[in-house]
Amino acid sequence: MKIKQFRTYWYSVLCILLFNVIFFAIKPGEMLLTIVSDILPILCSFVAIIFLWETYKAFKVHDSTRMAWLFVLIGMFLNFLGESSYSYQEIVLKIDLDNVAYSISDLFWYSSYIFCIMGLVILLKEYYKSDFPIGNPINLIICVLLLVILMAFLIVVLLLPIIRDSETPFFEKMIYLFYPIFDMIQVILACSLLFVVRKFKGGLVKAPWLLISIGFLLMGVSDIFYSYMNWNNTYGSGSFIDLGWNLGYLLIAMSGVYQKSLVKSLGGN
Amino acid sequence: MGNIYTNYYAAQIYSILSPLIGELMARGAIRSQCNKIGITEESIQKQHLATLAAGVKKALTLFIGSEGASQIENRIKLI
Repeated sequence: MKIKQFRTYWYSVLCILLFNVIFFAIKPGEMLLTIVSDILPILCSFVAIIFLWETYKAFKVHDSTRMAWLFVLIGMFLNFLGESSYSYQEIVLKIDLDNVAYSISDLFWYSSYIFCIMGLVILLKEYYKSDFPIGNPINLIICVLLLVILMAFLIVVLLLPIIRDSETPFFEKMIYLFYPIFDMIQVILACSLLFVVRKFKGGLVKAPWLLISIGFLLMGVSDIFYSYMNWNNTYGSGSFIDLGWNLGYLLIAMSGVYQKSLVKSLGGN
Repeated sequence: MGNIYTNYYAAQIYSILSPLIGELMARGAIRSQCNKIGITEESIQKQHLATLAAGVKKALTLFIGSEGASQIENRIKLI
């Protein structure tokens, strides 16, 4: 793929993000803000589906690598369904989803976690099965310790208040709890990918792995912030969190662009 | 850093792998594949290439898929 093509894609990503930032900065009225805030994730997740589909097609042999990308693709498709159904309920059916404990969108989002996590697990599992080194054990221990501290902090700040709440029914509590738990798993997996990918400095294989891990990291962190703000009733359309989701989708899309280009350069489809 | 090998085959394998996986990991991959068959990087001979190429293919499949990894395997075999 030509450098010009990559640049065009990156400029497009930048344009979407700039539009996102400017629109949220000027706050053009609640209805318009809700519409844009709902439609942008649909657009970004759709872009991710297109590029991941292209990536999946570029792999000719159905091996574990292709399987991992397929799971991520299915995960993005389910995210797209989640975003679309959420927008439909909020914009067309005029349902105030802030006051609804769960909807059909949650089903899509929960399913998307399973596929995305499976995709990331396959990539990591296959990496540890390959003969590539994991890296300096001291760095690994430091990273694991930092993650443990972060997770412990999130459990205290986010999970315990939900568990201890006596007013919320059990089923609703589960709905609130599952999101941050899945997000924490996603963040751990994304950080593990980042840990291994830094060793591939200067290699063509680095870009897709780096982008997919940052993408999932951003989505996981944004989701954790959302869970916290949603539980405390401080989330509203046009929040900075939306930017994290949208950028996450777009970086995952770009990881597909780089992966496809790499496979094609080696004589793939 | 660049190519540090005096052995012809090691240098060639390195030049195939380093654009793909970077200099550091290329050296790591060559070292680990050599260790597996009980030789050093500087003692690679023509007869080792098939085994080394198969090992490299297995490791690279994760990043570039089986087909791309087979291309690299063939390039190493043909050195």
